[in-house]
Amino acid sequence: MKSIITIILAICVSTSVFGQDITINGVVLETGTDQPIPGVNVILKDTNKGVVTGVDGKFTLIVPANGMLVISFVGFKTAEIPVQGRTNLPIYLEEDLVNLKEVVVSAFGLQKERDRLGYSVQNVKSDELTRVADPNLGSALRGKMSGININSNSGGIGSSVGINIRGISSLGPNNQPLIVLDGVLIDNNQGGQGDFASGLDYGNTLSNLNPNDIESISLLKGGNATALYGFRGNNGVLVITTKKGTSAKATVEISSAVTGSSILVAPEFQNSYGQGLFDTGTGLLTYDITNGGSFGPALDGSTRDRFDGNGSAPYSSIGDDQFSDFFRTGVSLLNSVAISQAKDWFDYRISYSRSDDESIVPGSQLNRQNFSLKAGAEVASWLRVTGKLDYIDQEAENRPELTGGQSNIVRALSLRPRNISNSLLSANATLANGAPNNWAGSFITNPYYTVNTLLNQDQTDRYIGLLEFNADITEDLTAIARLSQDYITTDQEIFNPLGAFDIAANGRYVNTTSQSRTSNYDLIFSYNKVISSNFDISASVGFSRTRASFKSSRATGETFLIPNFFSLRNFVSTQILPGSAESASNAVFGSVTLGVNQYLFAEFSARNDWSSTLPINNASFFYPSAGLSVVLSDAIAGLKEQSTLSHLKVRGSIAQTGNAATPFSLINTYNTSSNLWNGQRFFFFGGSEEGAGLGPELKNPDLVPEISDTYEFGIDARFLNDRVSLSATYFNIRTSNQILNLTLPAASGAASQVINAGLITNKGVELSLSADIISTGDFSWTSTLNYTRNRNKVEELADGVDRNILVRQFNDIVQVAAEVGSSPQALYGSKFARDDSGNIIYDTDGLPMVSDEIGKIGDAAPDAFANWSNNFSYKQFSLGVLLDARFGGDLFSFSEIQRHTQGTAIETLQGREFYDNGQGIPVPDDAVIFEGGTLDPTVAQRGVDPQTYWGRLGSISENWVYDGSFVKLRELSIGYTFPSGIASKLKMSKLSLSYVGRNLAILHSNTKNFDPETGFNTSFSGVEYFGIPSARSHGFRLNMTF
Amino acid sequence: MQEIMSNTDSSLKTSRIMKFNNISRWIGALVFAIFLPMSCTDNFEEINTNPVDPESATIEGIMAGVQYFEFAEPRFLTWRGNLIYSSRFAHQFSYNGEGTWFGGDVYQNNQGWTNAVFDASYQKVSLNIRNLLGTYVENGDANGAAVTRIMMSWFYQKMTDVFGDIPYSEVIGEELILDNPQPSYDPQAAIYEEILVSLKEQMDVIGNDTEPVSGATGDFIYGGDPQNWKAFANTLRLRMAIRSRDAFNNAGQSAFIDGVINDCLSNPLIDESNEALLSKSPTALVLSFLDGGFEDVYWGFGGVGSKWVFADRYMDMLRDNNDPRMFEMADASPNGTYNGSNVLGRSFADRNDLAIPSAKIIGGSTTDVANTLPNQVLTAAESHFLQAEAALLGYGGNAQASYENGIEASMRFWGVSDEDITTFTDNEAIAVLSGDNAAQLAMVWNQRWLALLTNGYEAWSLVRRTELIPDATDDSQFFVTAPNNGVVPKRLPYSATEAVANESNLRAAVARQGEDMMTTNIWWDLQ
Repeated sequence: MKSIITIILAICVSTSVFGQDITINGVVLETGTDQPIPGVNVILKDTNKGVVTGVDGKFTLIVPANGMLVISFVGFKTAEIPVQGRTNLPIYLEEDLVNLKEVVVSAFGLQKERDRLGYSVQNVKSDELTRVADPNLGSALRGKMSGININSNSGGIGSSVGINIRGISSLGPNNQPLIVLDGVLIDNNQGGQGDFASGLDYGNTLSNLNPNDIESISLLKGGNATALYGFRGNNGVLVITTKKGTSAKATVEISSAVTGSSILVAPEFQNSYGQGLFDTGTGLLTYDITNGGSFGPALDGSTRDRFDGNGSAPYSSIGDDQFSDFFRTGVSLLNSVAISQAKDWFDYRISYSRSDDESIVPGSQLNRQNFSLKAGAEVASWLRVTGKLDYIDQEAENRPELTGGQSNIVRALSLRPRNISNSLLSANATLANGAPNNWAGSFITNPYYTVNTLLNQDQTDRYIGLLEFNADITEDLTAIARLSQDYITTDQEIFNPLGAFDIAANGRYVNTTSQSRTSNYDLIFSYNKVISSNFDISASVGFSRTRASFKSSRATGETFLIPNFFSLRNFVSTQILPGSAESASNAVFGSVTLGVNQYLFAEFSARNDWSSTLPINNASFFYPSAGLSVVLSDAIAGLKEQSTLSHLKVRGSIAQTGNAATPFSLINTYNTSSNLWNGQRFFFFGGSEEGAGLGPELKNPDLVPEISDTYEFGIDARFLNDRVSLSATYFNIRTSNQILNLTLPAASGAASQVINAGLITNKGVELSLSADIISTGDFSWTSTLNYTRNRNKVEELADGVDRNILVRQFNDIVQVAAEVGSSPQALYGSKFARDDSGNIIYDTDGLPMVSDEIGKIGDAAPDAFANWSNNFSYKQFSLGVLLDARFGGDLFSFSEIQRHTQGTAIETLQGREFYDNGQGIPVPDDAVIFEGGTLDPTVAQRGVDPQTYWGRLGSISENWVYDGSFVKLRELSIGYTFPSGIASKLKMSKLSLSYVGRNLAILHSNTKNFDPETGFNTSFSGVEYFGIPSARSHGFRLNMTF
Repeated sequence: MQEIMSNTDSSLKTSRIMKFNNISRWIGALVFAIFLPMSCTDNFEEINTNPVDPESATIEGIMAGVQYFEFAEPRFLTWRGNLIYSSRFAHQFSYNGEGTWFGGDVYQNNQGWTNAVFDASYQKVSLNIRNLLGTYVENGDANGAAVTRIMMSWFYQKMTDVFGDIPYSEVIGEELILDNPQPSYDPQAAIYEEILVSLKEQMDVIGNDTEPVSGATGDFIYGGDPQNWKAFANTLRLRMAIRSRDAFNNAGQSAFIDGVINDCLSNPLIDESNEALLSKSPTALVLSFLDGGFEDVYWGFGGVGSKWVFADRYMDMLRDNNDPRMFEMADASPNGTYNGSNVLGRSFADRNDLAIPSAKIIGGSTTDVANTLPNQVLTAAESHFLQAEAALLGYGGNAQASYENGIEASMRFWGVSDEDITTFTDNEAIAVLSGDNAAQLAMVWNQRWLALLTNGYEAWSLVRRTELIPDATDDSQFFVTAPNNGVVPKRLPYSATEAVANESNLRAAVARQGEDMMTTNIWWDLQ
């Protein structure tokens, strides 16, 4: 470290002194707007003498009185201005629309010309994010970029969004990208998600940012792009830049959107048979209110015992629409107001937004307020200070319970016997003591009780603060120092009223509080020097320190003293479970970019990280990167003239990055029993004392960093005077020495051990093609197509191990596993028993037999993604259409299993004639019978009864795997911008109104009963389990600027 | 536009620029000084130390955990291993009542449950008990180590009886973490022999010592009393020796097994003064989730889905012999009857006819366990029935006396009054051994089977060895389906997790033992 300080100080001191003649104090402004332009090269012609303008656009340069200045900046026409003895010189640059050199935001928020980069960076601008007024920033990103896979959980409003860039590279728990907001490393932790038993989705913290505050989002994908962020950027980086004041006049922007949502996909049900079962002993169909299935007698309109045994009710069809009818029209209001200004030496932007989101699930809502203040001041000519403070206040009520949870309403609506109508359930939702009135036999709560009772609520308070100093130390050397913190505190309450939940029938209250703090300090020195008109150099060195801590406390009270009074003091027993995670890291890094002749650029970077989560002797890891880009269209004279090509750049980069472990991965620690047991608190190794709890996960004191080697190359080309542009990238990522939890044989007594092993590769192609197809005076049509293909493959695991279980349902109905030769998202489960030729083996009763092994049943890794956006404008009107598609990727469906085994799915109608002595589900004529036995002749003739058939199939996971491909109409917007005459009469500078639509239609899918874009936990994909149905939304958005 | 910088402004700027380098240098240095840590890894070890979970533990705390996992069995495990599988395979309990979730074909393998029986058992017990052993060895507490090895033997006997060949010899050491985490499978014959030898060794280690082992407050069975553990070891030896006697004879090792049985009988065995019982904790452990599982499973889930009933064979035997235990184990059905349901029946029995498990088995709710009887780890009744069987096999002793002691011990365990016991033993033909040797053995087995209620593992092992449960043959009334075709399953298949993570060792075991199916006999099961 000391040597770096020496170098930096040396650079500070060695500022060169220029000639004698005259001192110019100049400023470079943009023609038309009078905005100062920072970073402009000002060079004395035919020399290497020059400066770069400061943040205020000003520069000071000593030149001969008769010299000529060459002023150049990307995106602007180069100007040549004679000095003519002037010392006070305003210079205006005109925007160069033809030769626009795109500037992108790269690591640390530094703006770079795209041409100089050896890697691909993709940008999403504000208007694309807010076009259809999605209040969730995570889901608003869907369909906007290549190389990124965004999975929204089906957990209702505010639920988590998993983001995965260029495939799964790590078998560790985290494959989410780093999120950097205005230079602040922000926490994107999960607030809790569903597991296979139950759970609520509290969303991840990306979801609670205000989309209207975002200026742009840069996606840094490859190792070279993210190298400067170190291991935290190993899964890619989303660099988010918020808006700031830009106009000298105070500007007020108001955006107001209202959208209504309705259910997009409902499953299909049978409407012919009601509650009960087929007794295979007596051969009778029995109406039975203790049995939760719908294999009872035909619905005949008769009157039978009511579902709760209290009185009677009609035994007739409830019709097709009862599932959808349960849901309401969700209403979402997203309003924001911002005031901004940039005047003289300061700029500011203050915004307030409020999002009120009522879910399509009755009783479920989420309200969020975002306050944001961002201000910059030029406290001295050489020093700019920027401060930012965001406060987010979010509260939610009745987040829906997920998966196998007793109060999962989708499970209730999907499995309720087909003679029990919504109105019957609604009118009889509670018992006299206030507990839910449920039908028997299925561990499911009356859904009307669920939505009309406060079962959970949560509150999040979040503060994001930033203080940034931007100093011009010399003409060529700038320094940025940033201090930031993201502080999140949450308070979650779960209420189990008396009698409402079977496993806490005497009442339970769970109150979880957590505090998460991510603080960061960066110091970066940047040196930019135009040595001559054909050679420039930019370099940066920096230091960064990050500390992240998380503390939680989960207090559970059980068995009420006073019924339904939810205070921890009101329970017979209480238990407190603390949680903690803490890590720190330090880094030094540097990069150098050399530019030759404005068309050849080479970039080199290096970073060394020290992470607290690794053993102290292995805590340090170093990684370098290098990139090269050549603008061939500039380098090879005549290339442009001879063809339709207007720009061609080739680029390539190679990088190595590392990754550290999760906190506390080194030393085995004891768990303690959550309560006294026979008067003794006991110590043990393992996840929990419950039998389904994870076995011991052994730590490892010898971990070393995980290493990724990445290379990518590609081209950026533009044709027909830049009207068509193409960007293509091939990437190859090899992640070795994975820090993974290796599944150990249960016989060892442990569930897993964290080790370094394995190799995973991601090889893929990203294409981005955009075109201004029509561009006349009044009418324009632009179109952008993004395509990503990735082969995600596990090349090696540990010695002698070719499969590693990542997640398992507690009865192993499905497992997600990494398998050598397959993707890290392979699905495993029970399979059909087959003979050596692959034929399914049937038993003598004509039922397919279950294999004893847990075998591979699918692979959840998608093959490819594509999205296609089209924007049309005609005079004041605009039309935007976004299509989004996923190809491949298997889904295992718990919902389909249970709808079939319980007899509610429409498919279970087949063969019900069996119950009237008719034909059941036929056994194939050539069915192979177990061990050479013979098929029961009655079965051969009549087939199998559907209840027994689906019961057996329900135990064969292989049968319930679906292809998850889809094509969706993701976004549609129709806008009208009022003519400036009308706007100005209303004292506005801009007024626009648009229709917005989200998730309007699934144009193609292979699952008819659910939206294939589903999930309940972002750490794995490929499992569907009674998720809240996705919603389609229509609405209006009004934008006003004063 | 020309006035963009006034002259005063301009001169001010100029003067600032002149000082510029000095200021920035100072600022830069200052900023560094404030924020740079002393070293790049300063405090890292402290930061990465878990502030919530400890790195060390008390012996009684470790002992208590082992006893909970091994003898009480967490709900999830006992539901699958003890209740759904073995207690039904042994025809003690049945799920064939209206509205339950697990009716139907009982002899089908559900690989998920099977995985849980193997995985959860090993993952809860084997590493934690190695840790206990290692702790005692490190502390130089020889009796503590002996007691731990005895508890280990009980556990691996249960496991080998369920699966046959299992990992044993490589997982019973003192090290917390195995050097080779992929242990090989030992043949059941070797496991039996090694445990029988080891138990004798532990008895010898304990000798006549009466000093309680350290961490005694974590021993809820014997309070650390080594002599009681010695009797436990001896009785466990007898249980295993009787079970494996035919197999040892078959293998030409009669001298060995006869020697073991004779030695067992000449050393103290468990009686009613020291039977191994584990009380239900009066306070819930994981709040709703109690230990032991039966009461929790019964009350913890919706409606009647998880509410098992008695098997018909069980209820019939109690009722038809005026067994007073019936009223302690069961409450009358709504129709006033004491009926059970057939385990394999195709029809769901009407709940109104089915006796209900009493509060002594299921308590009053998930949290009310005041009336619940303790878990039966190794009972006096079982000890007596083992001695009765030994006597009938010619090893000496009084078969009738042991038989009667066994019945009385079981009745007292269930809370039957002495008067009712006497009435039973005085009046019921079943209380007196009669008929030929085979008939008398069957009587002993049936009474032992009755006494083993809630210990499904032992009951299943007993019925497998003795063919106590006849094969079901009437496919129209019972599930007589592949692969078991109405025969009580012989074992559980191995865990699919082992097939993933310990494949070659598993393959070797299957190659030795036979196809990995429920129909494959394990070593001691010669029938």
